Amino acid sequence: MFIDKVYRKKIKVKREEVFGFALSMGPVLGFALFGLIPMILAIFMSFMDIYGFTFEGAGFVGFENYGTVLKDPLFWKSIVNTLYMGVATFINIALALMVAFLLTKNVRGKKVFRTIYFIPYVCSVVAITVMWQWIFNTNYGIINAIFTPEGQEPVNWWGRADTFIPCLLIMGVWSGTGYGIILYGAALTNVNSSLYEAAKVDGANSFKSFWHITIPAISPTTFYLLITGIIGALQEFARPQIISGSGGPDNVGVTVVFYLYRSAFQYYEMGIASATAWLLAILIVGLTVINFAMSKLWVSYD
Amino acid sequence: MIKNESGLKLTASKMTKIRKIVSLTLIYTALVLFAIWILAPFSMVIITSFKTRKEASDPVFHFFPEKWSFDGYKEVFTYTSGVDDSEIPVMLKGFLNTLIIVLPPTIIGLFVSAMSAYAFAKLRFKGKNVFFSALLLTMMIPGTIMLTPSYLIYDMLGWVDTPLPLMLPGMFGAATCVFFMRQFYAGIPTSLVEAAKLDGMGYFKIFWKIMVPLSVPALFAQGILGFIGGYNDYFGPYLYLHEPEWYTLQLALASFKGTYSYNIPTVMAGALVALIPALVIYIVAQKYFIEGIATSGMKI
Amino acid sequence: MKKLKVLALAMTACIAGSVAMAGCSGGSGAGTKVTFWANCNDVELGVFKEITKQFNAQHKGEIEVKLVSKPGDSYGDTLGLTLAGSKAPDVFYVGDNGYKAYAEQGLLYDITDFIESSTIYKVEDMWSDVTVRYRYDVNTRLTNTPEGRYYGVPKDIGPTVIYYNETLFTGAGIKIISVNEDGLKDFNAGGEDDRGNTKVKLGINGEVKEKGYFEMNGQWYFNNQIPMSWEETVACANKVQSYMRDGLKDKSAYGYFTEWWFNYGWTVGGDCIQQIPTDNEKYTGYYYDFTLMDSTANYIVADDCKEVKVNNKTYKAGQIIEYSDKIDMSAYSSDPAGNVDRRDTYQVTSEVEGLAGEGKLVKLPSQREAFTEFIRLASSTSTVVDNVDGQNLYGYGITPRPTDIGGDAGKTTSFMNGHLAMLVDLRYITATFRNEMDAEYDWDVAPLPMYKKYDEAGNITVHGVEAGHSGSVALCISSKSKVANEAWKFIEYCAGEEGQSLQAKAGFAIPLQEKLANSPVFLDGQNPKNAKIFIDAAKYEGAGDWWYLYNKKWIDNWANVLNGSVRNGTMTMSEFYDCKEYKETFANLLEYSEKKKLSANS
Repeated sequence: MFIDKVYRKKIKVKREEVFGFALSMGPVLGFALFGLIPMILAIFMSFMDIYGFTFEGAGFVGFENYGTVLKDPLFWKSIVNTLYMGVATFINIALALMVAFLLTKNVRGKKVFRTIYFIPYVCSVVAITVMWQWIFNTNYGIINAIFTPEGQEPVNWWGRADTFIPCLLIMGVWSGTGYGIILYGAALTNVNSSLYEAAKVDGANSFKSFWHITIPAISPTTFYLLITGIIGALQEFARPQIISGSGGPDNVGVTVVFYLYRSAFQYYEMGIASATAWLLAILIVGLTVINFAMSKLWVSYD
Repeated sequence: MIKNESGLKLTASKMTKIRKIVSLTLIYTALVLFAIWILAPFSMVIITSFKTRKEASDPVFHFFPEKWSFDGYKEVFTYTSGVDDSEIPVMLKGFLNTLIIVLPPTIIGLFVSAMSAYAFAKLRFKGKNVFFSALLLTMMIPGTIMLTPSYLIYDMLGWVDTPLPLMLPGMFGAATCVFFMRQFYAGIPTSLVEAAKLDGMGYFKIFWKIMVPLSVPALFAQGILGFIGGYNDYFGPYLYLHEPEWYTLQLALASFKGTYSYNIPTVMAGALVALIPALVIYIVAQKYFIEGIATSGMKI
Repeated sequence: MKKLKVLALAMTACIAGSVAMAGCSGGSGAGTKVTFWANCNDVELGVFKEITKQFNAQHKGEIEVKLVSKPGDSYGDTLGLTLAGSKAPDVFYVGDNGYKAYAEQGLLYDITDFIESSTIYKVEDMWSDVTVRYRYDVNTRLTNTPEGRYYGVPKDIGPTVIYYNETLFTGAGIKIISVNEDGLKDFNAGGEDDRGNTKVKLGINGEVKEKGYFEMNGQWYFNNQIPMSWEETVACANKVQSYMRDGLKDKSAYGYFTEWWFNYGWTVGGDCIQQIPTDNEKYTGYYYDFTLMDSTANYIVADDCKEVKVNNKTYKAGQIIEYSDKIDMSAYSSDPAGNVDRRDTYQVTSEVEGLAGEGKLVKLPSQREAFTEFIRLASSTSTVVDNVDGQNLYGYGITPRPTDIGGDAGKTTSFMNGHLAMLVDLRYITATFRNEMDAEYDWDVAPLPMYKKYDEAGNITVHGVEAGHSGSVALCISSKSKVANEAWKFIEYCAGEEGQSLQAKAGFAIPLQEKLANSPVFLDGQNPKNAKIFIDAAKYEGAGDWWYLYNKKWIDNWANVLNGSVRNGTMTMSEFYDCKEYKETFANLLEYSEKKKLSANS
């Protein structure tokens, strides 16, 4: 009996190993086939002096490409621009929480509201960007049509270095809150209601209980939004590129991915582009690791 | 005294009632304002699409068109690209192509991802954490850089000019989807799996008979997200599909926009029409969709 | 579950079907297949569809060209990658801004031999500038040298001119004259202009001078065959603009729009970069200096001086002295990389100054002054564009900024809808204007402005040259094409008389052959009536700065500052001159002629 049990368990463990491995391998295999090989090529390319889309005539140059990128003031500017545009992530999270909180109150038409809020998320970035470009258009846009005082020059929203990114932020907040609202909506309903009652008994007002109970309880959702938001924000490209294909006024539209895209497809400097990509990847991984480390201080998985 | 007391009581309850009404009004106002903020930009597009070309760039701004014009929509539904002599409107053909190209990888990829997520969440096997971290890392590498090597590899395989580069990779699942589904499955009590095991269920059967039915909303949510992502993809089809007969809806829209670039209402009409299928799918499935996102728990 | 299974089956069928379909789309019909990618709008596509059809009919069973429309702005970004792969099209559009990089990467077929042996495509019949635009030497990175090879054939030539809305001009009280320099004498003597108007009919009482826009007895006139001076351009734009804003209540109306400075810089002989010879071993015999804001004066040979020798080079009357002949080259250092920023030390040679003193050379504005004039167009009247000698130069406020107007579609729309009185644009847009404007507005074309000064009697005392840029797109063959001979036949057909006639008829291009352009094929009486302006422009117009070097990297950095802070009035031209993006350009330009870079590529 005893031996039998051990034997069966062993088989089971083995079966679990095999099945676990087999079932989980789809995406891993997909990555190995379609991701790993290009990635390895991209790593090689970052160490090569490569012009155009062929390895012919390219030689290894060590870290030269990395040096070139790191010495380029425009690369640093592109990082600043990207981070600035990434501010939308934080605004989105705060705003999404507020709206989701209001939705937990006993309101009718909750579903209708939620559905509306999520609509921007299903629209193509291209369509949305073109729409906002039109809205902020200097001469025919509705913003200037409404807000330009009589006799004053209309504001050139997309042409000024100091308004370009703020306009993108507005656009980002418009399209980015919906996802957070839905996630927070779920998280808020899952907060244990007995905690609130206990707080009420202790005489805490609603603000206090929100701060001390709700916020910690939904912190995993906040963390998820933060991580995915930051990873996405650091890879910003399409929106500024659609609005200004050349890089925006005073180069404020040059994000890191824009910088690498331009190096690759307009300047044909594949080595520089690859090095930029890896520098960006390092930045993203670094920030994510820091995020995870910090999360221990404020995220509570009860 | 007594009268007075009851009067006071009345005022107190009235007060709470008033306070409730006031706060509810404030909440509704905020929610409605937020809805307006989301919808207002669309209204711009919708209204503009019904204007005449001339009125769309009228320096004196009218919100509603002076004369409603449906010319833009007529163009959308009759526009044939002019390259091949086919009579099928490009936008319609583009929509059908999009379905053919996007649906299979979405559905198969969803299945593969879910399976993988189940394994990562509930099964013990060697290298589990390594593989999972590797998948997460792939989310952090800018995809733009893989464009060139990927293209050259697909080209070597002879896949350019076919939808394969847009379809096959997706069929192996997606890291984001695995990530999401793993959160979901982690929330399902392990005891359920153990009980099923005791009933003699195999690991795949547990996935198929227990996990999948339990996660239908989540799968729906991911499926829709994946479909909408593929539906809205422009650059991939542009890079790999050169045959007009394979143009997706977004490519058709781009071609349409290029043709009517100077006619803003027509362009807006095209953009709106291209938006509608995604919107319809979302609204029809939104119950599952929101439920699916909501139940995942979001624990990392 | 059953449903899912069915679905899965259906999906598999779908995939299998799609793969099969993709497989068969390859080989139908007889004849060698040539794929052809066109990146254009619908009008042009229609024409190329027609050209392809006719060509296929003529070569039935022999060659079959398959036209693929690739519209949109991403075309240039993805073309290189496609060309590097095995599914490259045989024939395709490449702009004059992009072909050099492809040639260097070995992606383009060297068609020199084809051209030299062709009986249909004859370089000597064509506009001189546009054919050699595609002649490039990948070894020295120089254009149009005898060693250069041809990589493309222009599909057409698209000169820039001023399109103007005549209805608005008339509304503003401006009368139109249509007579050129040569016809003025006859017109003044009572003859008719090209529209059959006489001085009497137009109410002119006095001698009409060689001016584009002028006043006579309180009446304003616009001569659509004579270039306006800079001052006339501003005055004319202001006149129409105030009519549109005050009279028509169009508060965002503008008088004039151009997004290209070439017309301004080139008319006085300036340019944004200059080739500096060097014997430094690091470079291939020369390097580039950034001269967008070169503040040394330019010189033109006086009209009454037949010819003059400057720096041992002979210049004829009306020619502008080249940069390398006017500047004292000894100021240029032998190691450009070590000392890039010495721009303030460069001086005009004493030889040139001496000749100017003798009256053989006439002084023209510097490139910087010309460029400032261009910037002033789009700056508001309250914006300080620059401070020169303690005096503020303000904007003119007659031109919307490119970003205001929102890309190509924006400027076209503004003009078509009557919110813009004058638009500087290429020929290709004519087709659109015919379709969309003819019913509502009278419109025509006029030559680009030119630098001119008059004496009090209205006679020209100083003038620059007629200048501007023409757009051009070439048809190229992929170096990997297995059907290059057939592809060439098709290109030859497009560039030959038949193809050119079809293109000209549709209104978006000028025939490549000078003879054909001067025939009724082009001058067919459709709008714009003043079409011969295009032919004049085609003669003198060259390629824009995006064509100078093999990529645009050296432009992007400073251009964004220019279009950002400078044009929005937060940076003056002097500050721009000192900003880091401007200064970085000197170093950025050096790599374009470095030997090391070249050897790595070949």
